[in-house]
Amino acid sequence: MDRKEVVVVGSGVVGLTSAVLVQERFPQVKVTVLTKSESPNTVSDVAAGIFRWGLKNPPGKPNTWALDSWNWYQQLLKTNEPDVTGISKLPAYFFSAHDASQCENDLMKSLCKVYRKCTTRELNLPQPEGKFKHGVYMHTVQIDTHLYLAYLTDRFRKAGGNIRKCEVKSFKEIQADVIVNCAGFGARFLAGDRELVPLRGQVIRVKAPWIKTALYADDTYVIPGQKHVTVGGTRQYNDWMTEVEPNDSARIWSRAVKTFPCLAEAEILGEVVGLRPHRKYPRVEVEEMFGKTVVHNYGHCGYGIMASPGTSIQAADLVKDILTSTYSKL
Amino acid sequence: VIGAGIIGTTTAYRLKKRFPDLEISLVADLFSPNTTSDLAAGWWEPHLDPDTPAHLVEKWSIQTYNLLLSIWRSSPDQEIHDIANDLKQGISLTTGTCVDSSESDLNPSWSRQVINYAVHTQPTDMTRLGFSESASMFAYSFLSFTMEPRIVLPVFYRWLEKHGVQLQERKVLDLREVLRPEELVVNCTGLGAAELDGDTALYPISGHVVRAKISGLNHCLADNREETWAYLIPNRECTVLGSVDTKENWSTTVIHENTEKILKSCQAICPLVKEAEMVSELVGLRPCRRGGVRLHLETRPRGKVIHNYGHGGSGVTLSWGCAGEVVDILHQLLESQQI
Repeated sequence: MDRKEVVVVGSGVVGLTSAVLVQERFPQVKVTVLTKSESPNTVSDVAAGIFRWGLKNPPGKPNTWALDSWNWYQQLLKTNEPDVTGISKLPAYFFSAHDASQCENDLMKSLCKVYRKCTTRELNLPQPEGKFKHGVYMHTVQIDTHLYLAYLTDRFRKAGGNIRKCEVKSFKEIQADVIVNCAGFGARFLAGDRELVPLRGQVIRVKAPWIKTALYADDTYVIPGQKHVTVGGTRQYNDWMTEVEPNDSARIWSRAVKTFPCLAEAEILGEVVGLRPHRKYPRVEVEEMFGKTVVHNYGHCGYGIMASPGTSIQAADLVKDILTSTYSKL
Repeated sequence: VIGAGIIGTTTAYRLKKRFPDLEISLVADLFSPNTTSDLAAGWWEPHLDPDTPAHLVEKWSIQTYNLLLSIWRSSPDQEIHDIANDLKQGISLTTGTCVDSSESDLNPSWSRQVINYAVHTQPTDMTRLGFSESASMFAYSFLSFTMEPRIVLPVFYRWLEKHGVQLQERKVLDLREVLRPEELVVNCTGLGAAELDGDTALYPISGHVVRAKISGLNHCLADNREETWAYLIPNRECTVLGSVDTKENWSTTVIHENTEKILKSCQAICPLVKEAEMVSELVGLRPCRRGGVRLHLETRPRGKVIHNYGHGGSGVTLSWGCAGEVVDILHQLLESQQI
């Protein structure tokens, strides 16, 4: 029996997680990741990395993604090696001036060990006083994306996987029993999916080690990671510009400092842009394309880091179904 | 003002602010980073000192809390306005969870004035918060701040010098050296008051603190139970772990068995300690006092002195309020034309 081959396209957080899951589950299978970009130049690297569920679930499917993702990160948290895994616990405040649903989150309430509504005094932590009418406080998970991607890469290689840097122009080029499409935004071309649209995000990275809690106030966020604090952001629909736009930075910064003045003395390290692969909901399903069996796992918009474990577990299950039914064909 | 730790420095600042025409000098044998205050993580939390009246502990501590909150939110009072931005880097908004076995320490009077003080008494709460379950345990949590003396003291010094306050590095051997009819002495010498003025009520409780780099700890954790006493306080650049406390021990030598003890007890409440990278460790002497904090005016034959010392382990917490009290005392003196 020939050795089975699985090719994963993309080495962002979704690609690497999928690759790890498949390779660990099927040590006999040759799993290769083909990727155009590598960390620190993937879209995943731009993300501040905080677990706060906001993803829509595709209709007709049970919502396993949230719980699976949360449990995955909780397992990593339990290893107590945040500088290796990139995973740590983070206290977080979510404030909103107009909409309770912007901050209150039933799912997070059910998952987080510490979750409560803010008191009036807490609602006046951000400026100006009286503006923020809703707020919650919770202990959630922070994912330092750079560290986490390195951890996944390492884990994948240790399980026997290979990563090759190359740009896949079409699935036609790939010889494999299963192709796992984790190309993120690249899937727009590779899968011909015009529903996938960039949702541009620009963030500012700063050094502000006195900030110990994540702070969200509607569109503004300040998220401390292990190496720097991420201040954001923007959500520009169908905006394809990958260069930093100074006007965006100015707006992000002024809003953030006005709301959370403790940020003012921060040292600016740099600005980055990422095009979130926006889709109504992530696409996780099998498709036969060009005579190849493709498992899609893309379209996570701004929830890639957070939802990658859940969707990748589902994608790995689909891979399993394909591989085992292929085995049984013989 | 004698003493340039958190007490002396904040006192000098508040005096100069209130009485801009007053000629003030800040005299001390040690300045930051060599004061007792520099060792402190600077976590705001009043401790029940059996000898200082609870209502005063509350009054003085809450003044400090409100100061930190107002600086963090950038709504500082006029009094702190020009220095607030520079202080910000030394002030962190930090939530804390503490475990205790004594129910009587729960819901102290100050708890009503801080943000979101909550008590957790169910065993399931303990596991939820990450502690091992125990029927005799209670936990409380609240939103607090750290104000790191090592960072803020130099900020205060710079302001004081800029505004004409003379900073003098010298050791005053006896209070009588400086008592003059035309000068007011403010005695903020902490443990130094024992030698300076023969106050035998003062005694040290030594604290051994370890500073370590621990990734992923953003929250203060403490176990206040006697057998398992430990705390982890995140500071700007590292985490402060403590402590081994010894009464009446005047030695500041680091004992390595104690280092092990601290790491072990801290690891019991926070497994992240396993991967901690040690940065430094020091022993400091908390200026405790039988009879409580000494904060009052004393008229001596040669001059007047306002004492402000004996704050034990609550120096940072009490600092702003006590400094305010000194200002009030001087104000009264001036009003009644006693000076």
